[in-house]
Amino acid sequence: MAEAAINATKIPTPGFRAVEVIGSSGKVDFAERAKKAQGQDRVAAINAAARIEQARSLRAHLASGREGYNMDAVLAKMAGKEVNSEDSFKTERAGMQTALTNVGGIEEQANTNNNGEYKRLAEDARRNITNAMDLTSGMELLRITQGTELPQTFNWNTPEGRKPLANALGIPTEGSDQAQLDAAIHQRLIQLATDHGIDVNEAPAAAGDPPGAPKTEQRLVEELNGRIDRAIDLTVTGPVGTIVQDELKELGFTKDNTALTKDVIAQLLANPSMRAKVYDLITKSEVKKIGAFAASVIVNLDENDAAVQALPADQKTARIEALRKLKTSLEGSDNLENVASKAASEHVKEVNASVDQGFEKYLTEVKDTNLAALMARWRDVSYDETGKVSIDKRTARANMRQDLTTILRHPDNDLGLKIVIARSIAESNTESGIVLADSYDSIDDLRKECGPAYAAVEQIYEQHANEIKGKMFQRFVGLRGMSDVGLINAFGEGGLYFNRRALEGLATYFGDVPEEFLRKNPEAQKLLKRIDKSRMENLEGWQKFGLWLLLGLVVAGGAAATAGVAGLGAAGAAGAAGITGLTEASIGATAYNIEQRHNP
Amino acid sequence: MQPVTAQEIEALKRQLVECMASALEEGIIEVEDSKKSAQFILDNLSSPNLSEQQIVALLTTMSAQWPAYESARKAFQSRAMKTEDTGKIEELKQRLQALTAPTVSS
Repeated sequence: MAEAAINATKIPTPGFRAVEVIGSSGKVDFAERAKKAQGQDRVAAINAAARIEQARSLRAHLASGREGYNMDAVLAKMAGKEVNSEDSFKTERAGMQTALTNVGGIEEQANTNNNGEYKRLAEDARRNITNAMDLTSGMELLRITQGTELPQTFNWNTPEGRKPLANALGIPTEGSDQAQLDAAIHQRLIQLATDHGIDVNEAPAAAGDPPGAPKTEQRLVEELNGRIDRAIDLTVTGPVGTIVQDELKELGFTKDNTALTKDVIAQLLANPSMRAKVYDLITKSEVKKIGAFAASVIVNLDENDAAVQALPADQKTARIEALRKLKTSLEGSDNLENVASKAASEHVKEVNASVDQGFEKYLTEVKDTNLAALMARWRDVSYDETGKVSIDKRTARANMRQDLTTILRHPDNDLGLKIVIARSIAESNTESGIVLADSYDSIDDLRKECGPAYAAVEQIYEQHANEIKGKMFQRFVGLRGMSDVGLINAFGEGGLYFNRRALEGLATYFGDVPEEFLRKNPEAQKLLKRIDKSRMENLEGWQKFGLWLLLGLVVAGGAAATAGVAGLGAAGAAGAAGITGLTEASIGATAYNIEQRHNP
Repeated sequence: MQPVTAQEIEALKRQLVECMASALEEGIIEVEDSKKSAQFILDNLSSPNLSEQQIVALLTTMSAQWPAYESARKAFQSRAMKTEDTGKIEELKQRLQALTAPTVSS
């Protein structure tokens, strides 16, 4: 049952996440867990990874140590601004056009020689380069439109109706009349179509005829959107698509998930930093393919080829010259391949490292959350989703009483505290697989009932037992208070009224909480001081005497103070008519003992 | 009041970027907020001839919105106060020198 619960695909709560990610083995493999994380876990891990990645990028800039390094450029990059992006897009596109021209040279050579191998290689290269151009085009359009397609359905007849398109194109609409807005939209669409290699006129009626009519704005919008769609399709079928599909399979989407992959990628590409990463990954991969092709062609380019040699003298000279030029150009691509390949592998390594770091940090946060859930059992102040404060002393006291009773009942191997931890996880998340029970007779019983999730209990215990004890003691003293003894007594078993023996047991139990777990909380220290003061004010004369005697022992006895507390408890018990006073003194002494360790 | 030099502004921006990196690492700020704050810095700390008081006011607004930058605000504010104090001390010294300077007899 527990395993089934752990494997459930419901959106996990913090408690469940802790159990799930810490896992039954008790050993955390961040990379493995990152891959398996689901739902909110995955989102949180990705967010954490994004933070780490962003910080890493900033650190790299800061560490570059270049004299006069321009921080504005770093900030602009951070803010998602791409400096001169349109210019760099045009440069990239021009470079790819040159590559296509080179391929044209190879195709010509292949046709001249009727070389099937060259033809096939050239065909591959043309496809790769065209894909890279389409991808660049779609990504640049997504940058301009801030991650969405251009709106296609709107009212063309009013400036208001055209605003969505103007906004998507980055055209200011304030103060423009319809004619001005029309002109600006038209001009921008023509400019974009030209930059992206889209014909602004309809095709001629027949070959050799003059160009057709100018395309309408709606038609241009459709074609520009076509580029965005094409970029998404290319991403789906490229390496990023493979990664996304693998992730979806991990999440249980084992059937055809192409449509879902496309949706996921469209969402990814709407995010500028993700778009930049996707673009990097794909273009590097495409460049690598082009480079590999160029390398293979260089080996085969042969100006002594029989077909070349058979050409008339003037054509032969021109062809050989063209082949040499082509070879030089492609050798540049060969270098590019090496650079791109290295860069791509470094990039993937960096991304993986940042995901690991992000997930490690996230897991720490989750563990803290789980611990906070445990402490929440004893917190009498809580906040609802709207931030409204509610105070429920009765529940907090009942929980505290239940947990303290458990601790007293099961002292061996601190089984009681382990049951308390298990109880908290079980309450905060019913999917944890931990059975909610008041008590178990042995660690083996507890382990058996909790199933694989027991490892989480052990891990929390090993790492946080003293912290939990420290907080529990502070809350116990706080919840018990001194000003509302009547109220506590009125609750009877539901309150925090313990008999002398139980209180002495608790004083002994909490007496060895290391001070570091109390020093963290100055509020708790103040509370302890206040309670101690209040106790002194409320105690009867003989009780005060007993307490002062105790305090003297604590101060004088140092490390033996706790033993002194128990001793005083016993001595007081022997001589006192009222049990309550002594037990109060016992608790007060422990509070004082702890305080003394902070303020000797 | 002397405007803050371009080099000083650049150093301040560098410090803010360092705050941003630390805050991202520690999970104090999310990526989206870091972007917004980067834009805020670009929009507001790029004007020429900013005075120390104007910068302190900007940093106060900024750290109220994103506490990750509080340390940069404190550092700049204390530097601004130090500059102001140095100016006052200098002024005082000059007055004292003027008072104690020997009178030139005719």
